Amino acid sequence: MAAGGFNLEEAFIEFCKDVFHPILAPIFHPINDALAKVYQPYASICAVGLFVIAMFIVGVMINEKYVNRGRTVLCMTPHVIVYFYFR
Amino acid sequence: MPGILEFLYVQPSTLIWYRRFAWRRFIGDKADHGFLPIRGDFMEQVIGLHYIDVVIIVVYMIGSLVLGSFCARYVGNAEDFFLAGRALPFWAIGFSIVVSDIGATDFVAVAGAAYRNGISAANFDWMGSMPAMVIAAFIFVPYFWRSGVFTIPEFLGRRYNTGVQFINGLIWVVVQFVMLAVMLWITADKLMYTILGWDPHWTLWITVIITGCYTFGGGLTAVVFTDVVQLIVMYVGGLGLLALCLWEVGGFGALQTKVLALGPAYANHFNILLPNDTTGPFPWTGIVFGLGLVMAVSYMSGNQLIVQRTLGARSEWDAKGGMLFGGFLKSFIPLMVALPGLCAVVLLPDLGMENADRAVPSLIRVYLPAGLRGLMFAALFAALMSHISATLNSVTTITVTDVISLIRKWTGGGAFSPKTSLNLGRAITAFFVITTGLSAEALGNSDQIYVFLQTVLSLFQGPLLAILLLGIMWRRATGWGGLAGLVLGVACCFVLNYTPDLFPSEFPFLFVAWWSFVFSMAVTVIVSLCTRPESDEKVRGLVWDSVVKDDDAQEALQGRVS
Repeated sequence: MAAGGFNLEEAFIEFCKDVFHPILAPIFHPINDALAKVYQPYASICAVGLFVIAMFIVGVMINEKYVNRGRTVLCMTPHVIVYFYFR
Repeated sequence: MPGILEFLYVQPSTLIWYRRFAWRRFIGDKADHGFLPIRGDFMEQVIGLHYIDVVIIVVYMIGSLVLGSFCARYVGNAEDFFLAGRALPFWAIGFSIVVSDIGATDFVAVAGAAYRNGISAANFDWMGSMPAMVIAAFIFVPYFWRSGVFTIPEFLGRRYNTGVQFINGLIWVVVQFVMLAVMLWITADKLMYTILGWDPHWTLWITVIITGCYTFGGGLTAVVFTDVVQLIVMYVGGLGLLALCLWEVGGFGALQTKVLALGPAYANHFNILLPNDTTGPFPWTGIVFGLGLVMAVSYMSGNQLIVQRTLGARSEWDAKGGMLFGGFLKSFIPLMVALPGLCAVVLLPDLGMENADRAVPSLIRVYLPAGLRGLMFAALFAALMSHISATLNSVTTITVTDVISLIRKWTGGGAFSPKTSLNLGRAITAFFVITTGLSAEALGNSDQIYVFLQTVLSLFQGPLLAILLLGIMWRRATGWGGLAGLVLGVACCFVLNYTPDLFPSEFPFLFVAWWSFVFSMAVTVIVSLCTRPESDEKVRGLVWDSVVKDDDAQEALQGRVS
């Protein structure tokens, strides 16, 4: 927070830039570069996969008496269709 | 040009992170921002209300007060007040979860986001809800519910230690109190005053007093059952606006054709997943990993505002069913709050990106007839009041359970009796109502406090999920591991958040959430392995294995909640 002309937030950003950027940039920049080349259809597969995995956990992995499989899968289905429609 | 929409997109959900950045941008831009014109020349943009509209709004507010006050007769002790006597049915829980999550400003802000960025803005209610709510319903909620706790910090205290409980509880109370005050002032001043020309002080105090009265008297029962009515009002108002807009555009197919025909700037408006190297805030990797896997799950599973409703369920089935039903209801929210923004691209072509946040107010002014206009504003008030009551109730619960009770315990005092807890809860509710109203203007106009607290709260999301998940799924997680994971995870967030040029997105909060979650998991695992394991007695009934496979623990847990 600013106090008497000294901005703590800006000072902290400068500190992080000097201290952490040289360490973290070599880690995250290659990841960013690799991900930049990955888009469709993998984006849709990952997005739909999130829904499908959640359905799988509920429908297959968890004890049947513990969940109501049919209704859970049923109520998630429209969401999957959304991601197919707007891919 | 960024706008108030990012700031106004303020549901207390996954976007709390986003708000912190957006607020700063908003403060920097407000001098020349179209949504906040100088007060002298805004009158021509004010929406006039017919007397029928005013009658609808007044009837709605009085109805909420009467319904909420009626629930006070069912409150006899602390459990009735904080957890509705553990008698809530699944449908009421589902309604309440959804409406607590939506603020009055979402209608304006999300529509503006859709106007500017397209359908990808709807991810926060699709990708950011349903998978997370399924995981919350079947993995987290049963544990919280069976352990018989009142709050999430209390669960963390049982699983790890009281240090984790106190830190989590205290930060939650302070931040939620300030955020509530700020939200009240922003809605009263920046939304209702700007759109309707109503005096912000009157709006603020009328809303606070009505909501405070029924929350004070009826506790969670009043909050939940007024939420049911409020969601219905919101649905009628919001879907009415959408139906009229789509009618004017010529249907959804025509909307797509007309928007895409506007040129390259709108080419991604019907693309729900944007490339990773987009400079906007919603790249697909951030949406899937940061939002879908971390922030959404953390919000739905670790947010007292949401989870408190399931803890008040009349059975475990209702607790899980309520969360799932809420997910189903939530899938309609983007239709009400995002699609009108896309319709505005066609219907209000002269609005311009810099005034995108005026999309919904302008649509209301131009297309809604008298009566429906009042219903729409009743919907906005419903969203505001439900948010206030939910926050008041959850903050009061945590203050009593995780702050005052712990301090009393540490200073040698005994546990409060149920009657004392109830009186304390009501006294604290009244205290928060009055102090929130009194401090709203000062806090709402002080961007530095708000930004700082938003940052603190948002930085908890990834680490909180990490220790919650490990605490439930991994028996070997220890108290020291959880404490180290929480503290160092937050520190990691600060570093990633403030180190520039690490991620391609202008607002990398989704990436920070993901990596802080991963880091916090690693820290918790390493420290846990280096420290003494917790005793079987301590973790019994609090970890996955003992709940799913241990019949004795199952019986003990059933006995605990029956």
